[in-house]
Amino acid sequence: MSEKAVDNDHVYQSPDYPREELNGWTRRDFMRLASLSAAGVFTGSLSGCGELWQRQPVIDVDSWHQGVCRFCGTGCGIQIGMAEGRVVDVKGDPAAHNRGRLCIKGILNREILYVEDRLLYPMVRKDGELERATWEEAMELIASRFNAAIREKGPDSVAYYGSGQLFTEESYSASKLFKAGIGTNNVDGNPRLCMASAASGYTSVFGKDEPMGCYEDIDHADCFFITGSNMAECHPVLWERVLDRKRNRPDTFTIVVDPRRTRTAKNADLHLQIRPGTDVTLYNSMIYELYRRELTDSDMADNYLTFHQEDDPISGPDFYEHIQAYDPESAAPVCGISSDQIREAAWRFGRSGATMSFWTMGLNQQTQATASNRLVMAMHLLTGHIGRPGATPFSLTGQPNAGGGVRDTGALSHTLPNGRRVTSRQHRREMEEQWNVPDGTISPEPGYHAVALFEAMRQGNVDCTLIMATNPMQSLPNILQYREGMERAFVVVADAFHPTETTRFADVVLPAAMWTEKSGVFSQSERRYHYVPKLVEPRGEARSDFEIIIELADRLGHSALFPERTQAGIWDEWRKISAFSDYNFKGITYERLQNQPGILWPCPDEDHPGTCRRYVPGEDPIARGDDKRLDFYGRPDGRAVIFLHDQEPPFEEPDDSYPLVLTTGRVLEHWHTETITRRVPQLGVVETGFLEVHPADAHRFGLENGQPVTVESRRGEADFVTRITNDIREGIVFATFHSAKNLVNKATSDAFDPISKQPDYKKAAVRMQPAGPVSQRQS
Amino acid sequence: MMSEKPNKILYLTLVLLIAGGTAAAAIGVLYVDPVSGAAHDYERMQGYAMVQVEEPTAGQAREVPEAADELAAGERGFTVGELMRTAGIISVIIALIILFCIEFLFKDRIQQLNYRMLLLISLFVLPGLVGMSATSTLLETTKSVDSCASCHVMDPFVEDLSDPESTTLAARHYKNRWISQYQCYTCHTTYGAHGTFEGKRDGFRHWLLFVTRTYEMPMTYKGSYPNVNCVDCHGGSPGFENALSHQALAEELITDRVSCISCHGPAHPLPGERGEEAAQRDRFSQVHRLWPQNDTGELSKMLEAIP
Repeated sequence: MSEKAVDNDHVYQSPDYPREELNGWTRRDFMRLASLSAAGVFTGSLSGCGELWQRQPVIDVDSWHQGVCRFCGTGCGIQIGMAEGRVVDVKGDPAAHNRGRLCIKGILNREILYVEDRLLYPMVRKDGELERATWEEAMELIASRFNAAIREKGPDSVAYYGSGQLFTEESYSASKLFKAGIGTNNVDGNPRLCMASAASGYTSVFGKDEPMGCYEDIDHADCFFITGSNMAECHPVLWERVLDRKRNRPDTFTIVVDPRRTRTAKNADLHLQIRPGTDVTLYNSMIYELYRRELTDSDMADNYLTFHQEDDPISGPDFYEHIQAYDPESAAPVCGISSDQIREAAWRFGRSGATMSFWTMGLNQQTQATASNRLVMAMHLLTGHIGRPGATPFSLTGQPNAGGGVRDTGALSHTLPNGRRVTSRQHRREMEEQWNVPDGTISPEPGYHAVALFEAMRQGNVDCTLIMATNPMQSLPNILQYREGMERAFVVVADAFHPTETTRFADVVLPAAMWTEKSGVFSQSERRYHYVPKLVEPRGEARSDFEIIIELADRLGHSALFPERTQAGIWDEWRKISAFSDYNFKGITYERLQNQPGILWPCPDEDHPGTCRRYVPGEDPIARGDDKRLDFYGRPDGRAVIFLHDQEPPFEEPDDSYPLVLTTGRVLEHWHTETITRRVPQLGVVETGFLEVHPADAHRFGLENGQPVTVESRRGEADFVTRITNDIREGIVFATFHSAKNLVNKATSDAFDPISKQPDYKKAAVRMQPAGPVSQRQS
Repeated sequence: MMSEKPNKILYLTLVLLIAGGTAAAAIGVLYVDPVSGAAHDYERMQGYAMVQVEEPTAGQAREVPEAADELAAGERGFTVGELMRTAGIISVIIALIILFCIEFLFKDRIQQLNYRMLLLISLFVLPGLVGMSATSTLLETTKSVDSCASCHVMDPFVEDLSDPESTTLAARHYKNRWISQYQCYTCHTTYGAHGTFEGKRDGFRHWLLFVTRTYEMPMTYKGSYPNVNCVDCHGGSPGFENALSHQALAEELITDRVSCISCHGPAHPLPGERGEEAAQRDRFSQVHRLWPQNDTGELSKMLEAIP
């Protein structure tokens, strides 16, 4: 062999022998390369050489970045995979509270920037049609209309309607512009439709808004009391953590209160399928039972609680006397469940080692929502299931930044930052000092809350409205009535998508950047502030909502309000302002947020790790008194308040003309008004235009499964497709508020809670009738 | 050299070998469990899915289904691995006996041709069989959880399997006996020859990284997890098929662009839950369990009681 090789070499090198040359290469070089590339092609065909050594990712990612999901209030930490300047993959962050888990919406974050109908350039209505315009043209028009309205009718003739989907810096800046710049408190937003009752509940009971517990409490609870929340579909990742607790401690008991047998209720140990709107009776009855079984904590009552009837203090025995009317036997027929179920629920609630309550829209969207919130908190306070690991009342939020962005920044019509109120002279003065504006700049009058704002537009009291990152013409109740106002007023809508139900009525539509096209701070249900980085350039001419607000401020002559014109500057200003309040999160800097999956406030300095349980001395840096169990520092006397409430009748009772009760909700795969999720191709197969009907009702109204059906209330009618199921109580029908094709909010009521001003979407009186034959496709 | 006896020895040996082979084949046909571990688990899972009323609740899921009372695949008869191991041991013994006989007892009474044939059998044919046996035994034994546990870096993962507090996917499958044997292997190799190749490739790589101390901590799963490993058991169940999220993601799941573990994980303890941090968490939960209800006074006493 070697001899031959030597011979060959000799042959090739011989000057006498004709050399075969190819572009200066010897034949040997060429053959060597050819065989090498053949080997390369062969191994390449085995899906890359790497596969021979280890498994390869299906999606090639150049770099991973820490971020937060765009959707619900669970606020899952995610890792965002980038390749060639595009978001190509999203996975759960193992270091975040969700332990790497995501739901389908979280995974599909990777699609949302690239779906259809992204709004790419500004549009202005000319001759009744929205037409493409330049930014200069659009902003000039907005500024002139706003200036004219303020000049002619005063600052209260303009309004801002924001969203729990904007970053904190954006909501804060908008609120500051309108309250401290323009001088109107007409600042509200969709959190009014979502979390206002929880906020008013917390504020009245503890003196400060926002939950006192955290997600980690789930890992220590022995009993879960889930009321008015379909966690399994609306907060699925959090629900999985609840199931984990059940898996590692099988004795854990789950009570679900819901008129529907939801996916959550199916997994419950005890399901109280109450009639809608009878919550106050149920909780009062449970409190009765807690007293009767001596499950109350006398130390709590003696040292940490006071009792109130509305604003007037009463005594503990007065409260006890009041509760006597709610024995389970009396309450059972009102709630439509058995007295044994009430007794069992109360026993489990009171007797467990640690009880944790969850609630969301089922409780908050009612005319007695604040009362219901207060009574759930009262059950925790009276039994002492509070301030210990696993023992806490805990409201869930529906949006990625309703808490930090809107509630904490005071971007509602009656609030100022960090739990201050516009009606308090002292609070206004504090904020005027912080914002460096003259005394008396902030109006002492609360502005229009959500429903009132759209009514004011209809009445002609508000002429110009800026709507950002939300879709009120689908999400407001009784929407038909408010379309008139939208047509009458000058409406600016900044959104990432067009068309939506709201942009249809806009006079100017501004293309907004979304999610990782801009950066900023989100917060979620447990007071965790966390950061979304900017990773890609906005589509088309889109700009971030922050840029839009700053430019509007410039054009309205309020540049001085924003000396720091960057988001980083605004965040620094905001966290420093928080240091002058019980919300203190001065220690939460951008730098920290960029390097860890969020921090829970209070967090007074940069070395502080954050606070899991508020009001607990030793854990909460603001709580005082090491020998005390709790310090409710939000209240002047340090004591939480138990409120006395009686069951009130619903705003409309079902009668012969409208015999059914319509309630609304969601499904797991879609989110809010489907502006984003309906455009994600994968989610197209998940229908949301259905009406759940009990078989007996279906029989009564002559409906078959899959049959088109019209639901009609005193306010309007909407069409759906019948879905017959045993999972709903007889006499109740259910529809989602997702679908723009089947607008359920044409039928819902705009009656609202007198305290929180949150509308009641959960129990409109309706009737229904078949709207056509069963179509082949639907059957 | 021409006597008849040596021929008889050769014939006797051949007859013995044929009889042994036939016996092994008979055992194989009659006693070896024809259902592989994975297929058996699949059947159980299907049966389990059918007895569920609707969706399994968390409470129901903990109950061991009736089918679990049956013996698992490995307990019903010989496995191929065991059969091959026994055959290998017998082959070694026979080869040694033949060698002993032809070298020491019958060497001068045996025909040269027969001597060479017996030498061929005992030095090449039977050792070849032993080689096959050893290979299959190796392939079989490295499927076991014990085999994976033989490297200490795997300790947190293996300990997690039987941790009563753990809720990882692996622990739930192991503790509830949803997979009867070879639990690591079942989830970490795809079915068929390709899977075996992947399994051995990964095992070899792990071993190489381990002995050369070139692995990185914390350990992470490399590449995309093949969902077929989950769907092979869960795929036909109503719980799987009726989930709208699965229908919506069907294509993504088939192509592994979305992993089942994205929603149903974590499969194993996460980096922060392995080791010291996990120990602290356990200690905390012990304190919590002993905490007298509505009485905080005795907390310090309880703390002292914990070693």
